[in-house]
This record gives sequence, C-alpha cells and structure tokens, in this order.
Amino acid sequence: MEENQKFSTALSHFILIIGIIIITFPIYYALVTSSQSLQTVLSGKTTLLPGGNFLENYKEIFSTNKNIIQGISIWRLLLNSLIVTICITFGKTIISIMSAYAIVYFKFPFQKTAFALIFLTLMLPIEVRIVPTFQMASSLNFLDSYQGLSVPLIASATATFLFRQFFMSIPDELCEAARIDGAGPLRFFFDTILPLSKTSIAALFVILFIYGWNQYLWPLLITTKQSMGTIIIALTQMIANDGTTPWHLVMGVALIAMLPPILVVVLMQKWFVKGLIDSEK
Amino acid sequence: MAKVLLKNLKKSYQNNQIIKNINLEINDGEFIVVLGPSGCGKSTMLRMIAGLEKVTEGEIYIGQTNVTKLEPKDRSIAMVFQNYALYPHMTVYKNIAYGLKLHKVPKAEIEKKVEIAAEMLQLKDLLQRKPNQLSGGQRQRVAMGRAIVREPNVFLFDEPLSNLDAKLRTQMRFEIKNIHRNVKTTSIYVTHDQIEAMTLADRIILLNKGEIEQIGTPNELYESPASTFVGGFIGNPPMNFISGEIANKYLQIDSLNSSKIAGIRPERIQITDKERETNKNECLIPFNIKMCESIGHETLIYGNIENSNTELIVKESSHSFVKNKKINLQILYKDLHLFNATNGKRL
Ligand SMILES: Nc1ncnc2c1ncn2[C@@H]1O[C@H](COP(=O)(O)OP(=O)(O)O)[C@@H](O)[C@H]1O
Ligand SMILES: [Mg+2]
Repeated sequence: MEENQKFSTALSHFILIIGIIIITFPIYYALVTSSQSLQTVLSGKTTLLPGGNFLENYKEIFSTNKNIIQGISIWRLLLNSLIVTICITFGKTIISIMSAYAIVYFKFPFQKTAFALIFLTLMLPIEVRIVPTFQMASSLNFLDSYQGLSVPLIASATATFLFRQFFMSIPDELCEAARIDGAGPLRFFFDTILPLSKTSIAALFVILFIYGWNQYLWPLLITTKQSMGTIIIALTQMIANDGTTPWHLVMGVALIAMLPPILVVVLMQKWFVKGLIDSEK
Repeated sequence: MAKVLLKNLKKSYQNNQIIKNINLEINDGEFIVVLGPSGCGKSTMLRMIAGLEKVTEGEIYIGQTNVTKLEPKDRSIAMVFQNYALYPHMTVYKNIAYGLKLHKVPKAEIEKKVEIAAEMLQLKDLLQRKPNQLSGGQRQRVAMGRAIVREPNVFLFDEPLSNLDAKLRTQMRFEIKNIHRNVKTTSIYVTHDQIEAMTLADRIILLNKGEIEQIGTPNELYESPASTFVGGFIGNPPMNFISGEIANKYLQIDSLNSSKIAGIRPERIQITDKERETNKNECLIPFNIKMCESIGHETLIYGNIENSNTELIVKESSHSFVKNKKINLQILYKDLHLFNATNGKRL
C-alpha cells in the first residue's frame, strides 16, 4: 500500500515536471538567446547556457533613444499597452457588473431578451465581427487612438455572465433585508453587492488584464501610426523579412512583454488568498 | 405599536390564486403565529404585509395607515428571515446599525440603541465579528437585533428558527417570547412547526391552501378544532378520525350517520384489557394492535378497529399490553369531536 502511494506520488511529480519543462523551455530559450550577442545567435552555435551579453542587451532595449520599431522606444510601447489594458480591464469590469446587476435585480420589459442578446455575443468573438466593428470605429474617428484600441473590446458577455452567476448565488433575502432597511438600488449596489463581489472582481481583473494585454488582431487593424502600437504589435514588427532581425533583442522584448501579466497574477494571487481566508459568503 | 388589518387580501401568481380573500385584525402588541403546511401561502402573506410582494387585491393597514402601496421601508416593519439574511461583509455592529444609518439617525443615538439591543440579546462581545464567525443561534440573534433597534410598529418573522437544531430552537423560542414581553411590539410569526405556534402565540392563524382555516388561541385550536384539517394538523400524533358508519356501531350517539365524522385525540383514548360494563359516559371499541412504538415516557399504539380498515393511533403512558392482541379502547363521549363529512367543518 505504502509502496503504491510512493509510486503514484513519484509518477504525478514526474508528469508535472515534464509539463513544466515543456512550458518553460521556450521561455528559458528566449532568456538564453537574449543574453547572447547577435553574432552568436546568427552563427547557429547557440548553447543552452546563457551568454555574457545579458546586461548589455537589456540596457540597449531599455535605453530611451533605442528605437524598437521606427522612432519608438520600448517605454512608449509599454505605456500604450498599459493604458489600453487598464481601459479594457476597468471598462469591462464596470460595464459587466452593472449590466449583470440590472439583469439579476431589476424587472424590465424584454429582460430575458436583453440577457439572450448579451449571451449571444459570447458566440461572436472579435475575429468574427471584426469588419463591422472596424467600420464603426473608423466612422467614429477611433483610428489610431486609445479609444479605438480599447472601447470595442470593452463589452464583455463572459464577464457579465460571470457576475450574473455570482449575483444569483446571493440569497434574495439579502436584497429584501436591504429594502426593509431602506436601501435603494444604488445603495444596495455600493453597500452590499460591490463589497461581496471583491473576490470575483479580483479574479476577473487577472483574466481581463491578460486578455487586454495580449490583444493582437484588433490593435493591428485599428492602428496605422507606429506611435500608437502596443508592445505585442511591436514584437511582430521587429521581425524583419530581410534577415536583419535583431533576434537577441526580440527575445528580450518578448520576455519584457511577458512580465506585466505575470506581475498581475502574482500580486493578485495574494488577493485571492485573502478573499478565500475571510470567505464572505 | 400598532394594529394590523388585512382586508380582503388576495394574491395570484399568473392565474394561480395563492392567497384567497384573507380578512384579519391583529391587535396592538399581540403575538400572532401563522401556522400551516408548507406551500399554503404563509410566506406570501407575510411578504405582502412587509411590502416585498405586490398585493393583487385588497388592503393592508398598519396602525391607521393604508400601507398597501408603500415601500417596505415606509411601513415601519422589521423582518427576520429564515436564513438570517445578514450582510456577510459587515460586522455584527454594522449589521444592526445599518438600517438606522440609512434612516439618518445620529451616530451617538445609533451607538446607544445598538448597545441596548446587544445587551438584550447577549451580543455584546460579538459586535466586532463578521456573521461567518458566529453560530446559527448567534446569527439569528443578530437578525433579531437588527429588527429591534429599528423600533418598528410590527415585527415579521418568517420561520426564523427552522435552520437551528432542536435544542437551540427551544432556547431561542424562549428568547423570542422574552423579547416580546419586553418590547410588546405587535408580531406576526410564520412557522410550520406546531410546537412553536402553541408555545409562542397569543392567537394562531391556521392557514390551508391560502385560506384561514381557524383563528384562535392555542387552546381553542387544540380543544375545539374548527375542521378536520385543524384536528389533523394540531396535535402530535394527529387526531384520529372515524367515519360515521363505523362509529355508529360502537358509539351510542343518535345523530351519528354517514354524513358525519367523529374525531378523537390519541391521548384521550384509554386501553382496557378485559370486557366490562360501560357506563353512559363512555363506550368501548374492539381494537387490533398492529405495532407499538415506545418513545420513552409514552408509547404509540397503531392498529385498526376490529372488522374495519379504520386505522387509529393511541397514545398510552403504560407499557402493559402485548403486541398483536385484541384489546378494547375506551372513549369518553365528551372527548369526541363531530365534523361534517362533506366539508370537514365542525358541527
Ligand atoms: N414568485 C412566485 N411565482 C409563482 N408561484 C409562487 C411564487 N412564490 C410562491 N409561489 C407559490 O405560492 C405558494 C405558497 O408559497 P409560500 O407562501 O412560500 O408557502 P409557505 O411559506 O406557506 O411554505 C406555493 O405553492 C408556491 O409555489
Ligand atoms: Mg415559507
């Protein structure tokens, strides 16, 4: 029996380790590449051990007068990405929590239809509705602007659905108790619903941040000016067709682009745990 | 403090009438228990009084005010829910104070009121805790505190003790009774538990399928049930019913025939072993014992009247009888209740 347990523990560890290797190897390889000189990278003699150009390469990437893509420094790209991601994350959270609140707690004509319509858009990802959305954005003069980068991505059926499910799990009596206590709809929302949703909001924040940060297709379409590019777009634009791609820098930028989502996950994880410890439901 | 008056109160969901024409006058300071099987419309009625449910037809008065169309917060009521409905993210103190805060009561006054309520409910040491750090009984006390500090005209309770275990339920029953003695606020208490109803109520309203079956003191409901439904609902085990034809064979009552039903409480039936002469106040019914259940201080005897399939339950304090034995049941005429066989009403 004990032997058996040891074996199964070993096996599960073995499988997990293989999974981790598969996932982290490309990242490790990017790290190694970003620490080598371009000549080493191009010579094809790259090893699995880091080279000696690590500091040099990253200094170059982060220097304000280094053009990652024509005329644009990495700082500008990171700032663009951050602004857009924050807009998307907050916009999505606010809109979806409000629409879920309306759907769950208010009776209005065509309530079911409204929810059905929102639900329907779950089946229509941005790629499917990209042409009409683009047309609308361009007629609203949203091209090459932060609004253009964020607003069309803000409506979120997924988040609305998530909040709806959460609100429906809150007992009706809580709302009724609030009504008897004299809390109107807004009061109830801010005094009760919002504090109770903290953990859900935190979870959603992480998901939406990663979603916003990793947007690729839409920013590619809606921006023409390099100065409005996001870091993800820039990354692809760094890869030149004529064989002059600075691979050591590309790998460095790729790793840097990965950092903010990782940071958010790590920071918010504390929040999750906190939310779980004084679980408030 | 106020009277509560329900006038021709009706409630329908779609075409389904849940509450059928209820007329009721509740006196100032009275403790009314609304009793009935689950699904009979007790909660619906209470929620209409609270203003949480729209009234389909009829009127509700609290004091002199017609509150039929008022918002819950304007009715001067407070409600205690079965699942407590405390705000999970607020401390006990904030839970109790919240309603006062919304009614713009000055802070110092809120503090004072919460303190008094906490004292009364033994919550003083718990004020800074969150609801999830409390036991069920403590939570229900907080819910009660929340109701008390508002100093409403009417307390509404919807099965407040159903989520508690039996021992705690008894204890909380006493506390509710005590609180009512202290504050003397008109209270309407919904439950499906007859023990709660019998012990708490000044008057019980027995509801059946959205209609009032009987209104009366606990004793009145027990001693003279207005219908077979009341007899069958109040008392544990419930009243035995014997159809007129069967009863006629053994009971020497002139008027007894098939248009009537006789009812007798299990605890009013005596067991006599041997054949004996009967006097004019009693009669004997031959009985086959099928099963006995001992519940400690007393025994429930199940069986049927000889040569019929009328099943009876007898409650006895002695254990001196043998299973599967033919015995005689002794019934006193004064303990018999007679009902109309067609509509079940008391005769
Ligand atoms: N919102 C509603 N829509 C339709 N029917 C309802 C609704 N609420 C309650 N009912 C029905 O009304 C009846 C009485 O319910 P309720 O008052 O909760 O019963 P009780 O509290 O006595 O157990 C039940 O048959 C229930 O199905
Ligand atoms: Mg109920």
